[in-house]
Amino acid sequence: MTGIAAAADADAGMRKGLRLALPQIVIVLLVVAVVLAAGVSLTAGASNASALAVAAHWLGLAAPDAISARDLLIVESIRLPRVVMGLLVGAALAVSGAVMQGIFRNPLADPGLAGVSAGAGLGAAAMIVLGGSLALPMAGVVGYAALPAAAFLGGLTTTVILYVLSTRLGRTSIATMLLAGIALGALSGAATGLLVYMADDKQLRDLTFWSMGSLGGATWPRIVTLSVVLAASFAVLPFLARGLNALALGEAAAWHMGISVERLKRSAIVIVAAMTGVSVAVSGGIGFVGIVVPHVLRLAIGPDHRFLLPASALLGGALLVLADAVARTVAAPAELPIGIVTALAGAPFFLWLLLRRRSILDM
Amino acid sequence: MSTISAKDVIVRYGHETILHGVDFLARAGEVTVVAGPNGSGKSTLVKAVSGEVASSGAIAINGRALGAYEGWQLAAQRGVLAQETTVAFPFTAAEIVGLGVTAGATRVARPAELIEMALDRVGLAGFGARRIQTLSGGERQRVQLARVLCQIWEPLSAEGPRWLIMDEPVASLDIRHQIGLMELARDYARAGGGVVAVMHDLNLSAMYGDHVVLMKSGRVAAAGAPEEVLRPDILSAVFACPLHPNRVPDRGVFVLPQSALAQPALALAAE
Repeated sequence: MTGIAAAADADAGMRKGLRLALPQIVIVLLVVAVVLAAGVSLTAGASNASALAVAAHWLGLAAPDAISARDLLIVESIRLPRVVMGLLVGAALAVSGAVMQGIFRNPLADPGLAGVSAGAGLGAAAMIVLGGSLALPMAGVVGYAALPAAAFLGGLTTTVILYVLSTRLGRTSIATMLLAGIALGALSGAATGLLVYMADDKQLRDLTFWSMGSLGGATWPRIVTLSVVLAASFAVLPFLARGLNALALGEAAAWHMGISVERLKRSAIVIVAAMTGVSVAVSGGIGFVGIVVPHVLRLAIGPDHRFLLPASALLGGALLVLADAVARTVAAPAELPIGIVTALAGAPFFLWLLLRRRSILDM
Repeated sequence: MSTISAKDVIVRYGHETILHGVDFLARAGEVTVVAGPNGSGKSTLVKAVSGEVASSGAIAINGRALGAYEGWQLAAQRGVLAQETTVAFPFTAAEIVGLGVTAGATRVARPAELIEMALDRVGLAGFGARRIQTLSGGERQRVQLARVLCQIWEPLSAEGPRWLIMDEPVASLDIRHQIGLMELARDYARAGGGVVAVMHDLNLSAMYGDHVVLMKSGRVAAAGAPEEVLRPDILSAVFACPLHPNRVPDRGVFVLPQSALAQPALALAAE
């Protein structure tokens, strides 16, 4: 072997080594980012209660009267649930996006764009407006689960319809998918509008909340529901990751590599619908997290889903918590809906992505 | 039963019948070539025996019915190289090949070494860190071949020979790599594995095929050793154009396209 060839080999080996180590490094950095984002968000707000002071109080490091009861209440009861819910919803949205992109084999797939969020919103709206008259005897029992379940069913129905419409002979057409997503989104929107028309004042207040998205409705019971759904979905992700990697080579190649493609697609669709549904149920429609986060991460650590999915969860959570901090502070003491913040940041990014990859739409 | 066998295989797409009751046999230790004109059903036959396409009839790999295999068992027994594989995300060559290691039954302490060996085997040593989208068509195809090789790295397993199934594997390769791929296929067969390849190049088929199956209109027109099958009468009938294979002593059969034949070939094709 010549010296040049040997040097080239060593170089390739080094780059490969770097590539193998990079995802782990990025994931560690993201964990730090999540902690920082949570700290910033716990501190930011109309009141100048500090997360550090509260942390010191929790750890028993501060003098008993170093922090006022009012500040403690603000951080513990108002900001903390918001931050926890932000982390969970952000993780759910980003992972849903990454899984959907893997299943559709396209970086432009996203529950928000494809009408899945709108379908989930319709499910939630239907439960708010019609639910009271339907499930009276069981209201006490299923009351808690009813709203997320309705949103889940709405999301699931939309995802299945979308998949059937845009996939023919195992090939998914991205143009059909986006157009079908627009149509399904509009249909869900119209049906939701009809429900708004029928709603009374209290229901109307609840409904308005869905349209723009907010973490303002964070409560511990909601967080528990969200956690349960997320824990169940995340438990399946390691199995999905291998299948999604193989699926990147197409359904036939994945099948030849021993992947049960139909089972993979079914479980992925159920998981996307569950995570999107429960997110929409607790926080309304928050757009662009699912498309921006996985894309940025693919640029940073590559497309291997074994790393992409957990990294998406971390970055999605951190970004949403930061977006919430912005939403709460830019117009303080008033509060912007978080959906406006994510759209303001995400939509230009999406347009840039579209311009860079215009050829995708010609598929 | 070190064979892939198919009896009376019928494949329909909608109302179209692609295969009309095909019998097929490939033996381990041999390179079996499936040739024939466009639309004759070669690819469909190979897809049927690899399990990709639903068919009626009895298909067995190593004496065991295709349907009796779990997906992962089939993946451990046979690798399939498609005519073209499009990759959806910017994976590196090494990551793609690594998918084959994960899918196969060869357990290695250091997958990176097997990946590098496979890339080296297809003439792509040092390409591991390259993103697949930055490679040429032929290089991409060889990355996919390396992936399939990793899946069935050892030609022999406790469950019988492993199988390398390829659909027009040389279509995007230059002549050096065409020969390289065919030699790789022959080596795999000589080491005890089985190879089934759809081919358009009759010369490569004659050079490297141990057994040639000629298809026409969804049926087997002829099957046997290259010198039995690649005869003027059979070839001319199957391809509907006059073809005159020649023989070189010690080298076997070769078929040269001759410009004088272009006229009648076109006329016949228009029939």
